[in-house]
Amino acid sequence: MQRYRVQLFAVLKEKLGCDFWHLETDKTLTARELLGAFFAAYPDVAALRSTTRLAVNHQFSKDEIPLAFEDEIALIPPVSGG
Amino acid sequence: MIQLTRFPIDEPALLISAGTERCGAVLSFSGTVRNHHFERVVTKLAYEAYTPMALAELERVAAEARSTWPAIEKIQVIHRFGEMSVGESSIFLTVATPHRPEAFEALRFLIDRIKRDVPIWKKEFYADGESGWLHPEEGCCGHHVRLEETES
Repeated sequence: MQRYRVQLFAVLKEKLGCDFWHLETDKTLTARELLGAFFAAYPDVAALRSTTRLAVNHQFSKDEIPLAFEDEIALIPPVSGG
Repeated sequence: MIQLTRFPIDEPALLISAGTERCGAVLSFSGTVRNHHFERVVTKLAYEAYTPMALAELERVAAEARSTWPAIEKIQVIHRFGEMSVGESSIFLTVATPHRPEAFEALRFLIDRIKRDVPIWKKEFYADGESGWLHPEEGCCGHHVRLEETES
């Protein structure tokens, strides 16, 4: 088993009550699969599914990019800066 | 010059350094904490930032503006995070070009892209004691959340 470490921010961090979400898996996931696994695990925040993006190493990721276990991964709920 | 800061933004200093002698158009934009959200009275805001990525995205947006409008001589972007009160600036931008059309277009592009792509989040605190993360999809600014696949 290996582990993805995913940083959380803003509403997702507050709803889960933690800064990181960890996913143990024995296979490499794509960005789309990781997002799917997160929202399957937390149906309470399902409303954010269509607007949450995944960032990998400080860049927005495309859906089909395979994720490395050492990547810096973050869930980016809808931003509201400015 | 691209920065994130926890401290109040020194707008007069940024205005002084905004132009160059070649520039006939020097524009600035202050994004300011507003005292209401629809009908609710807002007393303060708190911004959370994913700082390394926010800086990278600000740099990327500024680079895109420079390649779209090569006439740009100078861009300054400062975004503040942490708590701030009504009337304070959360973001301050300047753009300088020799002639005005490019500066107006670039300034609009910069603030619109920042609001769409830079990982910074606003939490509002209301006079009734409640608070909440602003959800752009709820109406005040729905154009933020169009998710496009961008070529990289």
